[in-house]
Amino acid sequence: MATRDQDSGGKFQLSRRDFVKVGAAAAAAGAVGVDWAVAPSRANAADVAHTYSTTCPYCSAQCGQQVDVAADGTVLDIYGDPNNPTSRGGLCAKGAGAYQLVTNERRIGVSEHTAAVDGFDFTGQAWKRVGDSAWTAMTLDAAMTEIAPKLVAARGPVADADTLYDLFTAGDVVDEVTYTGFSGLTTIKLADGSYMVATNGNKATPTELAVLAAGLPGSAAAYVAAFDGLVFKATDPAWKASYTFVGRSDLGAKMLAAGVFANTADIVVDAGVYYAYVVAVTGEMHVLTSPDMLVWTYDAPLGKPASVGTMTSPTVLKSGANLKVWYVDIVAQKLQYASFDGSAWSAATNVTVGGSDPIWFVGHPVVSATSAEYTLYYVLGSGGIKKAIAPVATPAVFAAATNVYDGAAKSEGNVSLAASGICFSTYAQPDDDDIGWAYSDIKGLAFSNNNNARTVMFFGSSHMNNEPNNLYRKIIATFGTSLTEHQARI
Amino acid sequence: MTNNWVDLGFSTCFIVQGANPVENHPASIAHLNSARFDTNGRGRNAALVVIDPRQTRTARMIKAGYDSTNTNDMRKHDRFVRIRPGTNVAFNNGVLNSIITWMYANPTDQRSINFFAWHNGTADNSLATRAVTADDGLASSVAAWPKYCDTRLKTNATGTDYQRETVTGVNGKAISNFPVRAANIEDAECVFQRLKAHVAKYTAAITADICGCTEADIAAVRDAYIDNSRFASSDFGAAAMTQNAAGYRAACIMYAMGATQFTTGSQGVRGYAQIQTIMGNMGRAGGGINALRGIHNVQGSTDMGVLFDLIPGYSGNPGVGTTYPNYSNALFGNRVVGTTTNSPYVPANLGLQQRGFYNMTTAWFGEQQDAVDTYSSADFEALYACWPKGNGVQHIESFRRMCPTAAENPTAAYHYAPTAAAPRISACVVWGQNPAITEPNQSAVRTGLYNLDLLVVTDMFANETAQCSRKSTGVTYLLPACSHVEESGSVTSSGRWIQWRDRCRAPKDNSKSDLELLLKFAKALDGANAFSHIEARWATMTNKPVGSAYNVLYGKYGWDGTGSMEAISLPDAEGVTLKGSEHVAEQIFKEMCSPLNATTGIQGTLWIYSGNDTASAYNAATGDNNPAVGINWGKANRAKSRAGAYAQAGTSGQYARYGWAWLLNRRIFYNNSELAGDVNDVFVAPGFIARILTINTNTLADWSTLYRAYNTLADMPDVGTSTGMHVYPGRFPAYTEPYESPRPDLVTKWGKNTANGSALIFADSPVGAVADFPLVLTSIRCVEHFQGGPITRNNAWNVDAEPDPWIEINSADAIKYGIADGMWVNVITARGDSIHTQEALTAGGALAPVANWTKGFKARVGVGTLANQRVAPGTVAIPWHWGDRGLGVGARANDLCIDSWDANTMIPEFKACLCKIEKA
Repeated sequence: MATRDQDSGGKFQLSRRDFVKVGAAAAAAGAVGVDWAVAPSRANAADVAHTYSTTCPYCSAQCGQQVDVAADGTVLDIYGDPNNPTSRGGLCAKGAGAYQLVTNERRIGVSEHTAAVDGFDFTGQAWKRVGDSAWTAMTLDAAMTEIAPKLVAARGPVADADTLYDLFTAGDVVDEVTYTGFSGLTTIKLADGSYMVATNGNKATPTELAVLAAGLPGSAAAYVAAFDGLVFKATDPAWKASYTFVGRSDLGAKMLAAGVFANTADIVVDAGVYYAYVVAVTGEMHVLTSPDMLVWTYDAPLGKPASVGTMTSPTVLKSGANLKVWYVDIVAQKLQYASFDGSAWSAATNVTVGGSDPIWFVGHPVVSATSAEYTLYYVLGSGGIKKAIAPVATPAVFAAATNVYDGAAKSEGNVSLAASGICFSTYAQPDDDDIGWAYSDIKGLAFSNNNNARTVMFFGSSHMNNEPNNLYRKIIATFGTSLTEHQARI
Repeated sequence: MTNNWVDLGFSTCFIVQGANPVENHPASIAHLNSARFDTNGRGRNAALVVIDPRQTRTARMIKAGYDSTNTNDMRKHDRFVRIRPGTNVAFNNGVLNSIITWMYANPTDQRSINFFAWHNGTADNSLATRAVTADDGLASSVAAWPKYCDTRLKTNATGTDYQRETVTGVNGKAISNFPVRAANIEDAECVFQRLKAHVAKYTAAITADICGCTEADIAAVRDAYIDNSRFASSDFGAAAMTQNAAGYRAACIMYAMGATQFTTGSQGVRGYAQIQTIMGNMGRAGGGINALRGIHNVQGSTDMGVLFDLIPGYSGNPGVGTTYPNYSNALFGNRVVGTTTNSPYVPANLGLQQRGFYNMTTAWFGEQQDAVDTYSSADFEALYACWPKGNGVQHIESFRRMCPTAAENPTAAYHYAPTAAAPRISACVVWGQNPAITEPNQSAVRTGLYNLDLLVVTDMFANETAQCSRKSTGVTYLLPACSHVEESGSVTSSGRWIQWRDRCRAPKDNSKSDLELLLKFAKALDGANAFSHIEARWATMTNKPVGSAYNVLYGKYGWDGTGSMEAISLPDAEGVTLKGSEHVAEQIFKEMCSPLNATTGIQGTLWIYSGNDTASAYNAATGDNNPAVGINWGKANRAKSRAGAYAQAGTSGQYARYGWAWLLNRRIFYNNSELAGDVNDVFVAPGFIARILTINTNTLADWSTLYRAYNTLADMPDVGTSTGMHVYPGRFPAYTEPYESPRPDLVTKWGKNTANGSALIFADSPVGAVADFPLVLTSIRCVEHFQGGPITRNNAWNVDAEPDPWIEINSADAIKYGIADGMWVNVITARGDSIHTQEALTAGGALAPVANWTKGFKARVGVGTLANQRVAPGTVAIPWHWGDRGLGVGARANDLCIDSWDANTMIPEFKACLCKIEKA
């Protein structure tokens, strides 16, 4: 590097000092010549027992390097490899100094390192410090043995959505449920031939509303006004003959006010709303209510169903053998599952749920204009599903109350609650459309932490060979996380 | 790189825009010089055009003189164009506008005639019949399809997508959702006309004002492109390249961090791809766009997916809720959803990337089966379920997530409020990296590192990250790695060449190879039951792996995790003895690179390093194949192939037997089978064409037999089209100002970039205004030091050559601020200064702080005319290699740099922020 710009009639000139410093790079760069600057080995030929081939550890040109090694393994010199088509034996100021990288007394773990070199004697195998106190040396095995459990503790258990049904065991009874909030508008064909409409408000498209309005009383505008966390159910198989609203009283009143329903008899008030939601083993979303065996599926990458009426259970539940779909039986107040053999649903089976371990999940509030609100629920023993706390803007802190997460770190069953937050999340994919949000929420409900230990970050390195990089990425994946970055994209 | 380092020698024009290869990639310069000074006797000389805010040493190579009597001496186009930091996109668009305008203005010029013939599909060899998948899932094909790019495809009115139609394939099958072709590029709805309208706003006058260059600069760069395009080449329309002919023309673009480290970095690079595609320079010897990557194996580590959004082979993390069939269906390969013939659970049905993913899933989370179809779909699903779902977090965010809450530490410089969806990061493993230097806005980074419960660092030196200041309960571990000659394995150069490194000796004393440390790490994790969730999956399988997680998943690489790895001594396929890490590396290489479709033994896990049959990088068939060039491989491990003599360059001149190049040993991407002696390639995108248009949907192209997903970019200016300057923002690259801009007038007009409306900076990041910080700061590198400096700042030779960090300033600014050459200067931004503010966060306690790094930067004041100095008035440049640990210490550039990021890659805007300077 020139000490400063030298303007010499438009021609760049190198001082001798510059040339010495920059070495081959400058020789190649100067407009005066095009030859490679090749420096042969400085090793005494008689001392060289082996000459190996490697590549320069600096930039991504990967110039070839030859390494002369003595019989005892001492590296005698590292110099350019003329057989390498990229570099033809040339090395720059960094690459030409690679020998010093190997023999460097400042390397940790080598015998040349002393306290005089770098302020601490790093000749050992591994080192540890607490806070800013001094380093202490330890064996590599001891360091690994200490590090691994700390990482596992920081990570917590790895759970994923598919294990939902494994978590429920015999004996539990559901006594309170809330639903996750259907985002977007869809129609559901019931097993008995009736239809259900679900929405949480303003996300229905005009087209969808028009389709619905064609089959439901009232205008599309009325539904826009009224569809706010509501669920309609057409109880008559012909589905145009009569309608009943099932939902919270305030929402029922809203329906009446909007003129969607004419009579209070059409409104069935219930404090919870109860359309269940759960994930099948294929990962497709299946929403069922009981006793009607409603099925709402969303095949995420393929988009919403083209039109009402084409969506039937067998056509959408097209993949996966021995599907089990979990749902909450509102009437019986039980967790149940039904199984699907590829063409038909078997009868729902009550599940006995229980055990002493609480199972936590996060669901959306009944009425939610945004997906940023959360409600914390749990299942504990025979107490059924409890609401731990009302919707809050952020779930960072849950207030103290009965059956409420107290903020302390705990690990019970397959779910752990870290002191710094809940280990699972309702991670949502912003690229997904409205239904995709609901889908992601349901994953959260399934006690998922997205399979992701989101509390341990791994930084990798572009300095490593491919094999350790591949191994590192594999360790991160098997550890259960995708929190990884290497030297920022270069 | 679409091409490679050696191929630079075929170029006839080097457009160096956002790189300084003389200092940072010196090996390229001999190839560049051989083309410029015609050492190969081809009768032609290559031009050098350097576009950069600094008159770098690369820029100083221009004007070497030229022979005006030789029409093939392109050095007449030599030029240095100085542009303001952060204006690459505007410059690209200005040049594109100028090129298009020129083509219309010179209709009788042969280059213009060729240009339109090529884009209209009337030139020889510009159309092809392409294989597609019909609606019924069976094979079909479409004739007379553009061979190179989408300029003739029609778009909808807003340019958000192509117009679509159902076409009939050559065998009568229906293919729906297929892009609509216009008769020619004069169709007002076609991509070319949309692009033309988009770049028309970038007139020479407007572009020159934005970039701080002259209108003549833009015209000169335009002329360099036109004279060195396919349209000016003597082989135009030919079926094969004549890359050795005097009349051959191909410009290449060389770029590095000077193109990418902006909030608009991705769009800048996309602009390069657009210009090179429009000018027919992609897939050409000496052409292409060439990223000069910074670290020797940054290509390889990216290939390995060590990023928050990738797994190996550029596959995305399986998404939350994405089923395996749907995930597979979106990869490069075959349609496996919505077709009755292709079950994704039958490996033989799968295309390259799909098969690689299948194989990787079985090899990473279970045991590969000897015969290819052994796993039932249920068993495979159990292994697929082991993949972590969803992306991690990008690097800047990760340090924020380490910070304490306001309640925990009210005086911390940065706070983080954990949420269920975004919990605190409490532990961090740093393997061979030095984020305490390399990450922007170090105040936030060090606050995060300080607050970690657990920090593990593996490195050759006790670097800044290992010795950063830590809270009293924070535990830090440091593990000793070895040098590159003490460990074996493959590395992948920027040109995608994979070369093998010999193990020249065992790691010195107590240092260890990365492979030994990592396998020990895996063994310890297994001991701590870290893999119990995988073992729980195995329990549900019919054909279940047997043994401990370590033995099943990691023991197969040749070491049981106990005793000394270096004691291993076993032969490779050719009988050569491999010791220690070389044996383990060979086993992992074999797993990655064996044939994807092997019917016995390992089925390769990394599709880009593998391939079917003899195309793979590890293959027992060591004869003259892939491609046939008259030389046998001789090595099952292709990375060990060393046919590097001049005589072994082959007809393509690409050294097809020196190492191995992904994909499938292709040396030049997208060569459209026009380069004899190279492995054939096409544009591997839906429709076999380069896409100029960025469409706004990521729905699948179900008819595609290559990549099946359309990639989109997130870029969107925050002023939208309201100011009348942006015509199709998001569809084509749109210039916006850096997040700290010296030109508020341009911010008003053109806006700042966002990711679909989301700001590219955190709300708590300080952002300065030009009134307080009048100078533009850009970060740079030098040849003597490397990246964050933990290596070179511990080497006495390098430290002796460049002991201290410096600041480059123009003499006009030096006078203004009273700074003389050699003086120490304090550089100050909204985030900190170079002397005071960060000291408290650097190691204290028993780790005594090193004082020398608080001196600031040493002034290098320009000499000569204002215009001819290294930097222009108003701009200062500082290297970023220094820190507070090591043999050589000095002020950190990243105490100053802004932590805004690119909308797609999340790379920080290291190259442009605002500062002021004072005498230290």
